[in-house]
Amino acid sequence: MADEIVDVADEAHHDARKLGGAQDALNGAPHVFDSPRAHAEIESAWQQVLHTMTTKLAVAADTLSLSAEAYASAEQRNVRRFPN
Amino acid sequence: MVTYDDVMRLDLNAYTEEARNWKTLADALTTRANDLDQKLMKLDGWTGASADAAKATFAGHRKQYQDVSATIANIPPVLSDAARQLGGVQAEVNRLVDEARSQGWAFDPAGKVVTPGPPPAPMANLEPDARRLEDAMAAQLERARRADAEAAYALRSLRPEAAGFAGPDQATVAAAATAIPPRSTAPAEVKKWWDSLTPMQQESLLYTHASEIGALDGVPATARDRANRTRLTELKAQLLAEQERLRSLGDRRIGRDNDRLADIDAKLRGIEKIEERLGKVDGKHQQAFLLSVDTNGTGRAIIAMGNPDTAGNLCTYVPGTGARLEQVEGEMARADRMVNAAKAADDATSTSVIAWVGYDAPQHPIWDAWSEKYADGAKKDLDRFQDGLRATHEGPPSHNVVLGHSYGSTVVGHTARYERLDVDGVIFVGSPGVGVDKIEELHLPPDQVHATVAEHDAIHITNNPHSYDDPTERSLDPHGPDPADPRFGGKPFASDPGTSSWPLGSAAAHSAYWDPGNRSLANIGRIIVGQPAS
Repeated sequence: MADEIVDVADEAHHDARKLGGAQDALNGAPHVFDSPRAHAEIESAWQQVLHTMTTKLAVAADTLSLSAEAYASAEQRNVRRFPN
Repeated sequence: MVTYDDVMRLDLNAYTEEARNWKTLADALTTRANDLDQKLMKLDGWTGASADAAKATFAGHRKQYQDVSATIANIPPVLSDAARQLGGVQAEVNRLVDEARSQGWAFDPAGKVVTPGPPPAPMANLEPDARRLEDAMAAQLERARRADAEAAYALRSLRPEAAGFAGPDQATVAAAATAIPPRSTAPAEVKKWWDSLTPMQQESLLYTHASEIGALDGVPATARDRANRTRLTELKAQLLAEQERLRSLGDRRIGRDNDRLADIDAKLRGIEKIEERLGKVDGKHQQAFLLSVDTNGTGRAIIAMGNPDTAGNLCTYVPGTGARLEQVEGEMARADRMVNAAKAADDATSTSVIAWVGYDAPQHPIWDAWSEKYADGAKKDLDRFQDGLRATHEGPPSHNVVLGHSYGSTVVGHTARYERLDVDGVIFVGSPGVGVDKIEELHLPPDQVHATVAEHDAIHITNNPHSYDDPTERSLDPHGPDPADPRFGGKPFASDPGTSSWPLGSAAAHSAYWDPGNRSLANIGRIIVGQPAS
């Protein structure tokens, strides 16, 4: 389950990377135009937001995974302590 | 000031292309939000305070994905509208140029009407028609300036901060970034460093420095796999963008462009085969882990069939002449076959076989493969990779072997000779020689040096059968004597003879060692699991 959430975070990160990998089309526009500059600014800013967002989701999923492992090992100890 | 020249040089397709990219991203994020919804439904049966806290956390993430998607979806209309408006300006400017030409005039780059040259000269006293055209041109340039300014303003209003998406969280994650050890660091040290990081630091590095983390020996396979899958996506997007640009040149493509386009097409085919394999898990294909990928030069990729950090048996397969990203499908198929051969020999212990296209291999069997430089260039990387497998392995030490086919055996031999491989055995298959005259130079016990060559393998022409008898003859054997010869002192094992082809042997026999039913495949499986070959 936690792994599946990490997968979602990874996929979202890949989506953002695709944008970064593909986007250089406006870079060649004449410098007098401001809209390509504005575009480059927001692209960079959104990349950072997406990075933060996906990182936090992956960390939350890791935490969930660790909690689940701790829970499972506590259960295992209890079973051993109180055999049938 | 916007000039006539600026307007005409503006590529409006770029605006349209960017609009399409942003829409794709917005749609994808909505899909991710829905995926997250589906995953969170699995938590429904979990109750209690911890459960409530976890559910609230993930619900918050889900909402953020949806909100970001909704905000980003406002970007494409701005770009499309700019393209439409500026396109209208370009069309009108073109019309004015035509009209001026019909009068025998022209426009200079700033939009002034001039007499045609050469060289064009400003007109001293403008005729009324010329003045009208100049004014019309000035109005169009002003229209372009306004459209550009409005688009820039609208785009900046869609900055994340303006939409409420930047804040302390971003600073926290950015601060988690930490220095990465250089690739030359001992893998055991890398592993210690990786283990010392917090989950936030690890995740942050995976996302911000995917290429460095993905290539770093000593980082666990699951983390490298995630980093390299990100890298693969990015590299593919870059190649596709360049492919589209080159294709759009049409008749204007020159020879160099055509060569680059062919190279891109070939690498994309390799990437697609890797993607296919990464998504395939069934009875004959274990989960694959992408341990490295690079599109520079002829392209490299390292793919493990099964998790090398948890498998009891590991085999690193080093292919020979012609190995490159484009050809990776065949190397992965051989690795899969070796996993299954190992399972047939011992189903109780797990096995991972790694297709190691991790070096610049010779590409031509005659002009390139005589040289040692490719093996010398690979030896440190192969050695460090083996140390990395040891460093990240979990539980009891695994049984590790390295298999080299053809020139790949030369790579393995050079690495063992100069770097001292930390392995439990080497396997040389169809070898032109392994860069040593005597088995002792490999620094491995003779019973850990396995080799085979098929009776009809064309590789025989590269080995001098008199090497063992005469030092002068040995000097004429560029990569050293045949390691499958019993006089070498290792453990030769049987292969099927392969297709004959008089008088020089066949290329088919050289590539048949992994064919289903070939005795060599079963023997390789046995050696991988630590059993004697026949």
